[in-house]
Amino acid sequence: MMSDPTVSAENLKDWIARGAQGDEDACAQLYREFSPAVLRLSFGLLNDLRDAEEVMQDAFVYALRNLRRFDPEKSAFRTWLFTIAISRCRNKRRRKWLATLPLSLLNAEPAPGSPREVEALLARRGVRRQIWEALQELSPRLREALVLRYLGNLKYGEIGQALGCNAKTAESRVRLGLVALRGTLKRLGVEAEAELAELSV
Amino acid sequence: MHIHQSWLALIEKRLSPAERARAEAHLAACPECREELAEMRDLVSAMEAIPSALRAMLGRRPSLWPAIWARVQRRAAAARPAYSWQLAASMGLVAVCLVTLTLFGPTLSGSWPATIELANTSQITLQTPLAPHTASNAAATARAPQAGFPLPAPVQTPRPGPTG
Repeated sequence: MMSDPTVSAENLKDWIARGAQGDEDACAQLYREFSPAVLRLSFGLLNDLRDAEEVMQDAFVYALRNLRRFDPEKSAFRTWLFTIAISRCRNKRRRKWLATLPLSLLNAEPAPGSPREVEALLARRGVRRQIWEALQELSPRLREALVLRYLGNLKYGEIGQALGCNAKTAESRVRLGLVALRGTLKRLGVEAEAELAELSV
Repeated sequence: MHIHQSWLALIEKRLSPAERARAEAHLAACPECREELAEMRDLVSAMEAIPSALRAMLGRRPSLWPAIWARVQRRAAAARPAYSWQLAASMGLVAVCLVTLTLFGPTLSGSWPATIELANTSQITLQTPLAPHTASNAAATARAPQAGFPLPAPVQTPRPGPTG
C-alpha cells in the first residue's frame, strides 16, 4: 500500500512542541507533511474538492490552535488530525443535506475534481472504472472505514480510534464495506451495460 | 466452512500459519471461495491504487497554507489582547487594593466611617437646629473621641416635643 512520506518521531515531536509555541516554520512543516492525506481523506468522504479543501483548512486551523491538546499517548498525530477532519466532514455533509438550493441556481462555477474527472483520472491510472462512484454510494459508516483504511492508510486500531470503536469492529466495517462495494460495482456494471444496450438499439 | 470471515486477513497476510494452511486447504476444494477471494483481491488492489492517482490530481492544487496561517494568527490575535487586558486590569486592581490596605489600613481601620458620620452630623446639627436627635447621631457622638482628630463638641439642640 503506497503511503505519504513519513516524518521521524523525533522531528514530529519537535514540530508539535514548537508549533504549540506558535512557531510558524514548525506549523508549516506539519501542514506540508500531513495536508495531502487530510485532503485526500476529506475528498474521499465528501466527493467535492471545494468542500474537501474547506474541511482541510478548518481542520488545520483547529489543530494548530490546539496543538497543546494533542496527547501522543492516546493516538498518533495523523489519527488525531483525521479525527478532526472526519468530524468536520460529517458536519459538512449534514449541512449539505439541509441545503435545498442546487448550486446551478446560484450560478456557481462547476467544482473542480468532479466525480467524472476523478473517474477518468483513476481509469487513466488503471484503477477499476466506477469504483469512486460506488464508494460514494456506500453508507457513511462503511465509507468512513474504507476511506480511512485505503485513502488514509490507517491500521485497524487507528481506524477504531478515529471512529470511536475497537480494532475488531473497524476491521469488520472495512470487510463489510468491501463486500458492499463489490455489490454496488456489480449493480453499476449491470446498469451501464443496460444503458449501452439501449444506445445501440 | 467457507472463508467469508477470513478472506481479508488472508489477503493482508495476517493469518497465523495454521489458519492460513486451513484456509488454503479449503480454497483448493471450493471454487466459490476461490472466485470470491480473487474478486476481493482485485477490489483491494483497486482501493490501494486510489491514493497515488488522487495525489497527482490534488498535488496540483494551490497551497492553502497562507490562508490557514492567516486564520491561525487572526484567532490568536483576537484571543490574546482580551485576555491580557483583563488579566492586567485585574492584577492592577488587586495591586492598588493591597498597597492601599498596607499603607492606610491601620489608620483607617474602624475610624473612617465614624469620622465621616460624625462630621456630617455636626454640620447638620449646627445648620438645622431642629434636626431630630437620632440614635446614630448619639452613637457617633459617643465614638468621637476615638476618631483621632479633635472635633467640636456637639451642640445641644432642643428636641421636638411629642406631636400627635
